[in-house]
Amino acid sequence: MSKDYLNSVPAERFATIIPRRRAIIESASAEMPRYEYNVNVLARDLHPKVQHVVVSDVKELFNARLYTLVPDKELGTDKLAYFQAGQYISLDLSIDGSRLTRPYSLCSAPSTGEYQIMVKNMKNGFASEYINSNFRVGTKIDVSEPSGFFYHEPLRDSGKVVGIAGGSGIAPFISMARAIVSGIEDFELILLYGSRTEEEILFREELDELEKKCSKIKVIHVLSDEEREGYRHGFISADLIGEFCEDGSVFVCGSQGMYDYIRKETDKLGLPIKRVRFDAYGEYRLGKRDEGKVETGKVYELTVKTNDGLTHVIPARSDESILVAVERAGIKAPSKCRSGECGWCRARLVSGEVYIPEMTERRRQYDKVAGYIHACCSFPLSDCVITINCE
Amino acid sequence: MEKYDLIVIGAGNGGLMTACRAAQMGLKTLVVERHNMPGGAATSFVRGRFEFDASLHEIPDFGQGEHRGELGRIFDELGIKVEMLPIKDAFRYVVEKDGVRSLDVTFPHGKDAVMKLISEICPDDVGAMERFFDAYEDMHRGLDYFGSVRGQIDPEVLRKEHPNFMRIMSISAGELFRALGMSEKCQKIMAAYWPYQGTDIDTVDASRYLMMVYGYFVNGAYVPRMRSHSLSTAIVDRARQFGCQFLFNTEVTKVLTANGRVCGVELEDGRQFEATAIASNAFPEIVYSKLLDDKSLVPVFERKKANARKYGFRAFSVYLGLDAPPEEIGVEDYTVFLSSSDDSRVLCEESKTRFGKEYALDVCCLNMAIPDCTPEGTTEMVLTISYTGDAWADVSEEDYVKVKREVADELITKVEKVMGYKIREHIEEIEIASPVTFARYMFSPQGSIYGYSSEKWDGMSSRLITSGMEQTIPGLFFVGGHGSSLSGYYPTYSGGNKTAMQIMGYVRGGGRR
Repeated sequence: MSKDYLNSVPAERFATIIPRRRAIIESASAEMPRYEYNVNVLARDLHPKVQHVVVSDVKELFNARLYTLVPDKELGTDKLAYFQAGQYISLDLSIDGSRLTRPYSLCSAPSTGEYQIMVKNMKNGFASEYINSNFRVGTKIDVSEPSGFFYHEPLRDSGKVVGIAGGSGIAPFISMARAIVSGIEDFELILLYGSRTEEEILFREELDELEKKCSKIKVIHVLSDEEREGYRHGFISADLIGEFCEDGSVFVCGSQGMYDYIRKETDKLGLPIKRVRFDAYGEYRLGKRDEGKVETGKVYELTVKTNDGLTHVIPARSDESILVAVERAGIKAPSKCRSGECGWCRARLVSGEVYIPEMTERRRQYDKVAGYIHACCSFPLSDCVITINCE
Repeated sequence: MEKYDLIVIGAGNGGLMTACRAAQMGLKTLVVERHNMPGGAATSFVRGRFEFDASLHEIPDFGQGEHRGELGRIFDELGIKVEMLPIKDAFRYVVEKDGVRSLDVTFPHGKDAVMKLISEICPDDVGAMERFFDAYEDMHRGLDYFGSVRGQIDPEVLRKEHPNFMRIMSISAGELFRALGMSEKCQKIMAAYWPYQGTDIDTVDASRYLMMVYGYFVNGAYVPRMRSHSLSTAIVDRARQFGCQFLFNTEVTKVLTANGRVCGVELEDGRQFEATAIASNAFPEIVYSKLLDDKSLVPVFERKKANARKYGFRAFSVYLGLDAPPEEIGVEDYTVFLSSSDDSRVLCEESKTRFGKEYALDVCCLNMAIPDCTPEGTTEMVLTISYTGDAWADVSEEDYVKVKREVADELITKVEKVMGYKIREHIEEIEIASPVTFARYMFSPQGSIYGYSSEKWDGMSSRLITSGMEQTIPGLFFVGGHGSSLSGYYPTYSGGNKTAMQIMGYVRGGGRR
């Protein structure tokens, strides 16, 4: 039976709960309720599901092209999402029956209202070759929201950044340098820029100009295949990095081979993990470090269940990721970074075995236990069944 | 056209649990989620070497052994297996302003340990605390009676058998403390959990507060070993075993109606699916004003209710991956409630702005519950403040990142100063989530993570008592933080579980209530 410890509260108050609730509700407006607020609009502006853009300008660089992208108002994109210097966008492409994506770092400063991306002519570069021979002024493309974590974060990074760029890896640093000059970013950027020869240096004039305009920017060109006066020669070694680094943060963008090399060099300097940041790898290519992990030249059967209710049975090469196999089959699978870090291509591995290179292993702990994979860097070791969530 | 018994819009905690239970009971169920992941706020993300939980600090009412709580029993019944680890202490509560620390107390789990602590720090309150536990028992009996008659109460029985239940249901937590005769000091300490309810101690219902505090103190609190993402994914996988289907990365663009009832949904690609019932994990106003094909079906009372309601907490969190072990950072506690005042009314009022003079911060360090949750020699920590207002409404796209950093900077400074932690020099990874971030992933109005605010007229008591009376469009059910069980992991899971039972009745009754 109840004890008498609450007698100061009249039990009759219970009867007032419903009338009070009704009175307050009855006094409210009968309009259809609002469901979206400034915060929701800002979230959508910053992270649009898709951005329709059109190529407004094409510039030839050495062995590369620079595309300027502006909003395609006709298709309903009024403005491009703001971003942080160093981020990338992912392009939606349709090439010879394949539906694929490719991430490209933004070169533009965040404030210009347009995006610039640089696409290098790569030998056997499936997407880059297509882009550079087909994109012209007026070409319409769908791109993702700006993504990625390769940006200066003052709460984490030093006010002084040693940027290490190899070839077209200069792209995100161009954005950072432009952002520093226009006052959007505030840090000192010392760029160690590796090119093969002098003529291959990308953005040469602009880099000179940015350096002249702003004391926070310094560029050191390093040529690997050529000895010339006024240039450093060789590779970007621990000694060279150590010369400028002091207590600064090191940011690296370039090829996978370069990452392997730079990691060894920064290890020699004893830099803690927090002080060395690598941009997303881009498409992971199996190499020496994966030897013995996958069989070469095999083709497995991949069964793909998509959320339109269809089941596709397609071939999957042992030396290509599951994502590539799906894209080759013309299935539009979600993906963005293609390096394992964004998780956009998360898929359920219903059955089968895959190889996931250690460098790209960025899955959530439970996904490893429960059988979810990032398709962009999972390589088939057997016939597999997967489900993917197409957009 | 494919026909389902139940289509669930949104795979948050409420939606997932509704779907899992409905599928287990044999309903043909489909879940449509616009994000590529399940869970809503119950998710995690990876940055570098760290995996951060987006929202979860701990779950009460899970329990183990003889203290198996209601939520633990629901998971058992459904066969959902997730490794859960206990958290040693309930919380440490530190109140400090201008360098003067007025309170610093660590609350343990377990009724005996709580009573021992009270006898030491508030010896005059032992009786009041015993009455507090009695109050829980009385409330529980009342709720059991209420549930057993499905809300069709006999006023005579209620008056005779459950007078204290009636009293508790009609007052705020603050009023309960005073009625129990707690000293001011004890009241202040017992109010420490107010941020978990999103309204000050004199506004939040005594019923809700009692239930939560009792759950924490008696059954203890637990965290999943592999973040809340393991909970969400385990429920999805279990529901799938019951035959439930899932569509991720898919948006419901229309809720279809016929003959005054809901009858299906339309997806963004134009596909339509029939359904006898729809459970919406999306807020009522989104269904009413955006998704519904025939808006004239929304009862006037429902429209007014949506307009009368206020949103619950909107959160701001700083996720920190630190490159030093906890002892080097200086962390000793799993949860620290860090406030500039012990008056929740003042703090609630000040929480309307982005970072005011008064603050209530929550510091959570997962390594204190799961030492190996990060690589050796590292620590992860989440600092959170919550807003009672639309504090980010005036931020522009261009300023957004800068503003986010400024507030994060304030939080870090505050925690370093008051707790003496060494954070800044060890930041290896940092991610900052604002109400805009929560709005991005959850699509909740203003980025609310707590559904509707637990106002005096709209708290657990009033939502519970009226839950069968306030009818929306037949066949339409609401689950999640905006539902009748209020917000939080336990309420949304148990609310979803209960709603599935109601849906079962509706579907088996041929679409009648």
